[in-house]
Amino acid sequence: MRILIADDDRVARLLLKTTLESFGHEVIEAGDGAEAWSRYKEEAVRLLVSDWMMPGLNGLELCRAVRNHGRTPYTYIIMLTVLGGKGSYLQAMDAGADDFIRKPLDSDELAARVRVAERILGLHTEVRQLEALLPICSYCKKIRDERNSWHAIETYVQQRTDTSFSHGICPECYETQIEPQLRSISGPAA
Amino acid sequence: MTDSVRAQSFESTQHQPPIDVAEFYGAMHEAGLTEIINELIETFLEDAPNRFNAVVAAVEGAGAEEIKAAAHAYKSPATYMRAHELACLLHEIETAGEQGDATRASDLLPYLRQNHEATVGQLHAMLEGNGRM
Repeated sequence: MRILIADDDRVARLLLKTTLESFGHEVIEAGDGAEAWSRYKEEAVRLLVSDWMMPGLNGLELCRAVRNHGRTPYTYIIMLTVLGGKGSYLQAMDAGADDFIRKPLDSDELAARVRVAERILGLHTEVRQLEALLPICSYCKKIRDERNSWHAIETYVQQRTDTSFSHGICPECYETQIEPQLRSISGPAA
Repeated sequence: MTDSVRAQSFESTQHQPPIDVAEFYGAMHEAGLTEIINELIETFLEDAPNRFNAVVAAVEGAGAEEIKAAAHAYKSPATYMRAHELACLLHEIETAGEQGDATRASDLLPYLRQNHEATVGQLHAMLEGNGRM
């Protein structure tokens, strides 16, 4: 995953970058909020990890700018700060942050939070796919998935949602499909 | 804690090494980041003088917001280096800035200078011990 990190502290950035790269991610660095905003507009990043207090554009302002930009696919935002308390947490969430990590960073905690971010971004992608136009066979009504294989509509929906199917027969199909079969079984009326 | 008690506590810890070396190396080992320890120390040492001078300049001449911002900016790297006393002093100065108490921030400057110099000295020694410099 491509991750943008924004922190004016080079020590924090070095630790964060090395840790995220050790998890197998590609990291883009920004030394303050304004640079992060500029890089964000240029690069397709899925996750933004930003410090709160930075000169110029601070973390909250950066967060609001990203949300107002409204880019798709969704950008997950983790705020990083030495600030504590419920007030700070709520302020970050109101600005559009998805998660919040306290400094100094704990690598296990960061790994767990990034896994959650990946899971949620994956769900966002699936929802977008479901909302988008689905390629469907004109004859058998199978749906083509992102791996180019075809699935019955029930299988496709069940694999991506919590939906279970309860099979029934609509009035039109009852008339055109079931009634003729019943008639053929019972034979011509006397 | 009153100001005088806090000042005494800063004085009383001056003989202790400013960096908790065991905690620092332990955290780096646990995170699998031992290969960047020297780079991390060098980065801190490159930035620390400017960070410290910014705090001094803010306390001596600028307003409360500048004191708060400068102290906060140095607190983050100090925290990562496990320089607890330095981070604590910077937190105190940041809080003083937040409260508009420039006198309190000014009173803490001598302790900050002492601790900053001790921290930098210890980090240089750590680099030498690691075969650098």
